[in-house]
Amino acid sequence: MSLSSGRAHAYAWMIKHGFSKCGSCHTDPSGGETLTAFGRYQSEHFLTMGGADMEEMSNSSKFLFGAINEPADVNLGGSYRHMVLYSASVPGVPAEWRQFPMQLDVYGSGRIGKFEIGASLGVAKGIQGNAQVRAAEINKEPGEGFIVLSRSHYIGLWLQENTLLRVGRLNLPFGVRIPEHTLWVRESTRTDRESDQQHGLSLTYTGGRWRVDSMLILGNFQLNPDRYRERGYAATIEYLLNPTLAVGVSSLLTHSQVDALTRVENSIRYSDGVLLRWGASDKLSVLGELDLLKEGGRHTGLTGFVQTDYEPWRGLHLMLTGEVLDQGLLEKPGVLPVRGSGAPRYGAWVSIAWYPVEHLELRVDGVMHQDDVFHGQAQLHLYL
Amino acid sequence: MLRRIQLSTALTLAIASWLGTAAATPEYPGVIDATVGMSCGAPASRCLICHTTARGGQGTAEQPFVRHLRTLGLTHGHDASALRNAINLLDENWDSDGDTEPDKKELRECGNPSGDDLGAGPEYGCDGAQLVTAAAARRSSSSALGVLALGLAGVLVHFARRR
Repeated sequence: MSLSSGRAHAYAWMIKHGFSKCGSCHTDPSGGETLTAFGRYQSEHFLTMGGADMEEMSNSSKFLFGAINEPADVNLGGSYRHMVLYSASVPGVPAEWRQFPMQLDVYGSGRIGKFEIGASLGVAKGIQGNAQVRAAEINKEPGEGFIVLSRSHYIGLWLQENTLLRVGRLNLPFGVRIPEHTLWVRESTRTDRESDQQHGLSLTYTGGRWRVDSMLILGNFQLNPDRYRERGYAATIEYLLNPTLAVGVSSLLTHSQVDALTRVENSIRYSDGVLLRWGASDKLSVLGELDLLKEGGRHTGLTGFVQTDYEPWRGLHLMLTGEVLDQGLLEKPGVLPVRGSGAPRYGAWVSIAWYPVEHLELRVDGVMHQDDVFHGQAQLHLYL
Repeated sequence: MLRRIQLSTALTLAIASWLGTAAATPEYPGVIDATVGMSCGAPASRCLICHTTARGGQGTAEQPFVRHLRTLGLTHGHDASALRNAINLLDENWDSDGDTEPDKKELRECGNPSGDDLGAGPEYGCDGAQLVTAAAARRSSSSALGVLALGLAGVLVHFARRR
């Protein structure tokens, strides 16, 4: 595939700076994509190398470097990600290098009185056979042409200052909202922000120490026919024990006549788990999640991750991530457990993320999974 | 100012590289087709010949056909030659899913040696929405994306320099 897809930014580790509530910096109360004006200021102040001395937001941190002043209550953004992938050799097979644009999206949101509206629009190309990015496809391009994506679009109503009701295509509220969409917790629970969004009705409350995000899932209406659409719910409840320590629980339950990915009929899929976000110091943060998995045609499994993020200098992040996956043994006679299916499979990421200037992230990852070759990833991320 | 210009230059170079993006890398469905002399395309549903999910992945290669291929030397992913060799070693009458149709015959008919025929599977995109025909999209996609990407880069460079 010359282009899969990536995600915009949601940095759950910001809790180490006391930003426990995602809605402080993002227009989505549970984080991701469009930044608020406050979020742009904080990205310059707390995210970018050298930004700690700034007291006022410079124009270069604003949308399009400040070339366009967004109207009041309107926030715009965009992301371009380019990925270089390296797969190590195995006996008889040489190492492989690939490079492709991973994301080209624009997104934004606006508020009119008590109403909120938001959407993202992007393009991708050459994704035939890719079951991931296609889920956000708008046009029907069957082959290797280009497709137009909308990962999210919604209208909302602020019922109270801290309670937002939305309807549309939304990120599923489950687990820690992280940018690594290929991490097993996000892939196996199908809750990444790459293209796992679903249409439905969402209610988000962020008051006091609580963040409650729930969603009635009505199905992905960019997937046809209807028998493949999942219906059910997803929810996360997070409680702030102190300004830099949050714990939570997540739950998801869906049913589809036919599972779009596995073709299991009358498929019931559920996950339940716990999550942790901890700012141990202003240089160190820890994120973690552990989920029980059950999907149609398999016995119960589990998945989880722990990520430590050490920031020796502002804007430079050294990350170590461990993950585990057991999708559950196939419910078929004669099938024996193997790592990842009936037995745990472990993996590790060693990552460096650098934010040298506003609007720019450079990141490299070394990904090691049991029963797989080493994969190296280098990513350039420009955001408007 | 300098770092803003550098940033814009990096953006221009990055987006311009899109125009030179290589074609899709060979994937296993293509290897299967080449080995049995067919051209069945690469819809995501064909991942289910070997994997239990259309998203693929190392731990999901558990279908009956690939379990038999393991005994013929296909012991890991990312190895087109091992897949090719395993299919060549496959007995003409071997039937992994027990449907009385031999695996190789099913592969030659764009079928599924691991179970029921996969069909087209789910369709993606809003119902009825097709911007252009597939053929026209193939002709125009590179140039359209190039214009879009370069236009974006130009806007950023312009404003970065002005400031």
